[in-house]
Amino acid sequence: MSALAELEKRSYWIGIVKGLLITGRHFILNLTGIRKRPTIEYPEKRRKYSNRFMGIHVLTLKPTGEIACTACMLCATNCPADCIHIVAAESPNPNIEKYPAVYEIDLMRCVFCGFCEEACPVDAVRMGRDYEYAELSERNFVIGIDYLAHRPQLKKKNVSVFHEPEKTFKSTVRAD
Amino acid sequence: MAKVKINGKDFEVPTGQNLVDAAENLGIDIPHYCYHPGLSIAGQCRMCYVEQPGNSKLQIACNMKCSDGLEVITDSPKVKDAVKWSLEFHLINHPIDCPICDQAGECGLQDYYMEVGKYSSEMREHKQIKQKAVDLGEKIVLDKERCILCGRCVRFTQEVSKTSELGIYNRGDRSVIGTVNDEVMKDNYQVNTVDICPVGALTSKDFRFEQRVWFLKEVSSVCNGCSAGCNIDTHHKSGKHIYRLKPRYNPEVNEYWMCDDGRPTYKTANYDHRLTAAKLGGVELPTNEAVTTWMNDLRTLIATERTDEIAAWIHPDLTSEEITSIVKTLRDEFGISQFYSEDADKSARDDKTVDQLLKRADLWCNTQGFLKVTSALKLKLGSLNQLEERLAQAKINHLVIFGSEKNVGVQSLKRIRAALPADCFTVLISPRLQNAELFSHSLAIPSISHYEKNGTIMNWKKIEQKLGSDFRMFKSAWSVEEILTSLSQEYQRPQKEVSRA
Repeated sequence: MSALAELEKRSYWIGIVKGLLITGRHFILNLTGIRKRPTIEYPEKRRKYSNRFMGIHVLTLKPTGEIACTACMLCATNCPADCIHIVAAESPNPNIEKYPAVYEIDLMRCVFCGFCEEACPVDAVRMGRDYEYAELSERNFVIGIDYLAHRPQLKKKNVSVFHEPEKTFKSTVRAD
Repeated sequence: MAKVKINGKDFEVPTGQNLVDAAENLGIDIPHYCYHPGLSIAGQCRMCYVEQPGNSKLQIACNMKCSDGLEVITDSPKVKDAVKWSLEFHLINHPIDCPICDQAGECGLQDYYMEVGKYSSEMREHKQIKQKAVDLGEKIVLDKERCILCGRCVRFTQEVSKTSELGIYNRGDRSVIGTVNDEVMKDNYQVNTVDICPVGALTSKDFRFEQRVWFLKEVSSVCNGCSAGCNIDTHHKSGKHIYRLKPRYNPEVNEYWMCDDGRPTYKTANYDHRLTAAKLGGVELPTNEAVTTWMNDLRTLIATERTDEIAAWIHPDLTSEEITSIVKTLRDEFGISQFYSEDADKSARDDKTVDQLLKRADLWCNTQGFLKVTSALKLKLGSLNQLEERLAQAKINHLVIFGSEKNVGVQSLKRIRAALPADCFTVLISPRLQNAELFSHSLAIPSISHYEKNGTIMNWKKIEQKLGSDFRMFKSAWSVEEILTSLSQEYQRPQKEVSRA
């Protein structure tokens, strides 16, 4: 047994000094920014997520401002978490046959897999980029059309690709 | 029997049977739209092409009867190619709006496209634009774009309902289904056209947009609308909600059809109309406690030998098993002698066909079974007038009412309610909320609705038919047999000594 170990065994203050040295080293490294910190100062600074990040869903709109969803329920069929609830109805607009009177997603059940987005034939539901959602009651995690299609974060940029004719239907036009 | 050869294999089928049906029974699928076994042959859709050796032209199977020596091939490349192009012709003007079409999931076009189609369209012309969501009838909606003009609905109104209301108007790709002067169809069998429509052109207003068909499960049952006893399939979603009824083939009773009055009978089984929890004077309590409460009152009357003050009201909508169980428990076990019911004799006597087709005048579904069981059990039944009289004389202290879920039973219940003295202990066993509201002061025990029942009912032809449900919509709603078994167990359970003080 070495002399130092013998001394440590006898007196406690050596251990305290060693521990304080470790604390002090981390303190100085973090304070001066010599070492890159893994944490960020969250509300002021935000992490940059990948473009493919799947956050809270978005319901897209037609250029006229109506909801693009046709209430075909393919998203609800494809949903592995069974979290989409749709009530279809006859649209008040005579040019549209069917629309969702109720479109609700239960965020507590949702696993954010994006299968709804894949199933949608008219690009009506997309995975958005928002991930901050805090509520006091579980009930408030069931979000409806108001939040999905008209929340301020979207800045009304959620127009369905399906309703921009120059983007779609190109493949169906035959080249002669 | 005829010996036929299909795809090189020998089969024996009944002579004269249609080839499409015969092949379907043998597990060989021949695509078809216009052919329906309950209707005449039109040969319009050209989907059921088969090849006959020695005949250079393809033939349509729906126009072939099975006879000895018939030899056809249904899966040769020539046949498949012909069917594929037939399908493309059907789809030339079809909008392919499957996402908003109610037929998606049970659509002939979808099925056969996946089976024999799978081409990319060769058409360069624009599709014909026609009217959508046309109000064709009181209960049906027509989408003229989706129609493939198979003519099944037209033949149905000509041959089965015999109203001849529908026809095909205009020519070529402008042909549409319609009525004369665009009148609204008033046929009482019009929703059958929705069932036989192979595409989503005709949809039922009641079911329109309600639910996608792939969420629904089918359970075979029998309609409780009248004494005809049409065989049906109940379409429900995970045992929580019934969405529609569809006729099921039974050559002895209803063939392929049912009337429109029978279709909405499922509505009383759904949440809005159901008594979902036992209630005592409007306060909810668990069903088993409700049975105990009932037994407590019944026990005092039985113990003091006042069973002549107890009466029971039954009706001919109960299944034969339910009536047997009521009589065995209440009469044989508890010694109740007074049973009153709707006049089943009269409704059986007055029973006649309303429209020469299916619907009958007797609105009770088990009148014949009721008469058979009550006479076999030698049950003495009083009439409604007699019950009212006894109630007016205040000779009844305990009344058990088995309330029907149908509107036809409400009138009698209202009369009983009016005659009921305030101090009479009333037990209502019914699936219907409206009945419980009528007897709001009484003990109401929820029972299961007709479409959740397992049992036997007998139609006017005295054909016994099974109800084979496998779902229960509410845990608190028990079947009549379960309620009575629980009651009798409660009766036999040894009672704690009443305090001796």
